[in-house]
Amino acid sequence: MNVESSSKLSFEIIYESLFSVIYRVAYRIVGDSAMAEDMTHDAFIKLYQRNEALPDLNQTKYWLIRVVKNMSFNYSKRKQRERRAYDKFKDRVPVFEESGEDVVLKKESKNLVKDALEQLPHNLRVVLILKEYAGMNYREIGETLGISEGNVKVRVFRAREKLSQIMKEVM
Amino acid sequence: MCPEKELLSAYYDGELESPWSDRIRDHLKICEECAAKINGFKELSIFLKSDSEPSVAEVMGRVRQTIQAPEYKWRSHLWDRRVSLPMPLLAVAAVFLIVVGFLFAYRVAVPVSTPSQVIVSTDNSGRTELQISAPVQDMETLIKLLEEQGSFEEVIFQLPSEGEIWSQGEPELIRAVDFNRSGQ
Ligand SMILES: [Zn+2]
Repeated sequence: MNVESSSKLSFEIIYESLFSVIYRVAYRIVGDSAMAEDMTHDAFIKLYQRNEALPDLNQTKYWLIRVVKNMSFNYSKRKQRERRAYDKFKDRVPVFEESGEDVVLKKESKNLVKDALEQLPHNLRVVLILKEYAGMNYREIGETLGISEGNVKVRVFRAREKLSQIMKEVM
Repeated sequence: MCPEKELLSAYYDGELESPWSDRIRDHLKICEECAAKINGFKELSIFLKSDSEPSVAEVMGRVRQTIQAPEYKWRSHLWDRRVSLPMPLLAVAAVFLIVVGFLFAYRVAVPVSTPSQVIVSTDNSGRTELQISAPVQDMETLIKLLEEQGSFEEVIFQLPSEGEIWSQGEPELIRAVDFNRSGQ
């Protein structure tokens, strides 16, 4: 039996069936298409390089989501760190006034959905994204994140409550 | 008596078993408040899907290309990316913006004020290279615009090699300015 070709074939099937959901989840978590692309890229490379095969497509999906979730978490921590370094530096240099044109451009590129999701704490955001964008049920979400179904229920609800509040503020 | 809101949320997600879901369904017929709550969840779902998402097909093709490349070429894209560009900082610095794209007569609507120099050239592989040297007021908007217009192979931001601003800068900030959005 040719192990290599059979594993390559299954990788292709995995890629075809899971790419779009993984990318979508990544995009919603980080809110940036280029970043989501890189995270999805890295997650699939990780999968490709994995030594043991995962039992089925669902388990593979959960695994990929976990990888993406952890990457996004580390990324946002790193962003905070660099932001702090920048804030320290910023005070030492003069900053130009924004012209009217710039302000208009900024408004145009504003994305309400992205802004709202960004305000949710990471653990609530991920759960809601898996529910709303990946169409996963509580059991699947729980299995992916290693939490109980009851916990998923609570988090989905809290995320919704919080999001309604945020929406009232921004709209 | 009204069910807990948490239960309504689970009902909305179709997560409740038969006796419970039936009871809630009946309750919703007579209770406006709970029905409104369910409606709120629905509106939230609609809101979350109200913006456009980037096209997956394009990304899928690009990522497949790198995965199919020989293994030694693989590298993590994510950690190459320069994150959290210190945008407003660039407001005080002149920036060389080099845009390499396929389109010839591409009008670049970039929010730069009074470009002091624009060089358009075509290299031997037929790609057009735009070199804009200008102070950039809002780096974040600029990057967003360039990404949305999307027809660029590569966008490189460079800070001028001289300038007193860097004498007091921190190394990670200089690093962070080098933004590379390559389709490869
Ligand atoms: Zn009620």
